Amino acid sequence: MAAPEVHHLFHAPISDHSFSDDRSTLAVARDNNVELYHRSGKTFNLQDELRGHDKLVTGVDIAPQSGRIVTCSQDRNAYVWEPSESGEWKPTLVLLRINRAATCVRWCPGETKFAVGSGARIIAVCYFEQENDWWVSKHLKKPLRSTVTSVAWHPNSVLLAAGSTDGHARVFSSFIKGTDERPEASPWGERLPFNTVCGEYLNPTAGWVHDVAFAPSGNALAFCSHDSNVTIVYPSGPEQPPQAVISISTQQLPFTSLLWSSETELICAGYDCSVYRLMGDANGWQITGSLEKDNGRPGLEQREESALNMFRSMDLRGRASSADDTKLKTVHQNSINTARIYQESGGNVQKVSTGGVDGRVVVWTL
Amino acid sequence: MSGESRLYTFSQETKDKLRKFRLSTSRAKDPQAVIYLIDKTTMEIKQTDTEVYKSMTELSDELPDNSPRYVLLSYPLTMASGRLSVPYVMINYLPPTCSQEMRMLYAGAKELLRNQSEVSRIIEIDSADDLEEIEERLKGEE
Repeated sequence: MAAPEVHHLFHAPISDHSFSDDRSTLAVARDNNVELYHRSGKTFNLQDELRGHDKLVTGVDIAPQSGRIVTCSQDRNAYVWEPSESGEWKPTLVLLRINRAATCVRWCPGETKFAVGSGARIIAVCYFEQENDWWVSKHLKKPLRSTVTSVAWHPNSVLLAAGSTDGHARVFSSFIKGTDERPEASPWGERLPFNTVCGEYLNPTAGWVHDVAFAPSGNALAFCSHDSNVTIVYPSGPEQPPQAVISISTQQLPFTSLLWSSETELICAGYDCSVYRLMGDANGWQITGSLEKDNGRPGLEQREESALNMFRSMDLRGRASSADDTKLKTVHQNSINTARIYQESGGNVQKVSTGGVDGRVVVWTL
Repeated sequence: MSGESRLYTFSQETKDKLRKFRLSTSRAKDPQAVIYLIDKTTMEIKQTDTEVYKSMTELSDELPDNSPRYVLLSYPLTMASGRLSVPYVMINYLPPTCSQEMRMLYAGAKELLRNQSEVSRIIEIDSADDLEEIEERLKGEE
């Protein structure tokens, strides 16, 4: 396992981060702005700053093909940033028509729409209307009963999974006539008008759902919640009970973010400050280990414990050991907020990037 | 007021059509409606298509989801008192998802169209479903 690539960008929390398609640009949400870093060699250097939001930016996503960036913030707005030839980014305000903060935003795989989750118990699905030259937002309301914490798209760009603080993970259809083509029949459903609920899953203890993700084929849904459970749902058909709902409870602190690295493997990261692997299939799942190297932080040395040093440290520090325990043994020094796919080929993910409250973005090799 | 008349134009044909429509509907037995829009490039107010809508459901299907429109509606009513009345009203259809630009455009031309078409009053609606209750609203306000 190669050593993880650590980029300590600044000393402030990163609520969301996203890489461009060629991985040379990194967009990071910092306070009220989004900073764009450009890779030069092994490091990332600050290249641009996208200013426009009045409050904390809670979500950033870069569309792989078109390079557009969508950002959402606690100021109830979302902006779509278009790159121009001169290198300037032109923001377009999208009126979400919500009256609470926006919490997360993701482009759909086709890049014609994006979904914004909010504290207003609404998901705003936004698409560009050509005739009016304007981004229009349609609301998914029923049956959401609390803040939406995360959204994830199915590969067909029509089905949308949402995790919420009411303990449920739901799958909606966000079919927009004129923008989407009719999706093929899937185990989630066939004729799917806007705002149909294709599935609603409650985790055993009704803890807040932090993140949801569809499997690469779209035929399974995983979500992690605040009671340290990870639940994976395999649907069987529309209007029928699912083929399997597997819930594993881990001994770790809750996970805040998860993604599928293949059809049978999940990568989760959270308040434990490190990244874990889970493997399994429709018959059962188990946690297989962490991506951290055994000796913890690279560069942690062992100091010789002589009697002189012991008494010296008792004098200086008030405790016998002189081991440096002001730093965590994990690479991230604070909880991880987002985990994103960094490199994948042939349906398998090889590298994953994580961003955390400590201001670090780390690229892990699986 | 003169600023608006310089910006928005009515073709002579449209003015004639408006006059003809107003005169013909007072004697009709069923509801009659025409949809008007503002052409963004020429700033001309004109009818969307040559059709006269007789049913509210057909009309609500024709109204676009994200753009404002004007509808001139004549609706024969039998009042509670037994009196027969055919109010001729203008409906200002403004969905919440339309852009600020469109709102300003249609707001500016509202009074101009009211004067040109000589309607008795303007009703504001923000979704096509509101058309179903138009009869109650017309009755209530008479």
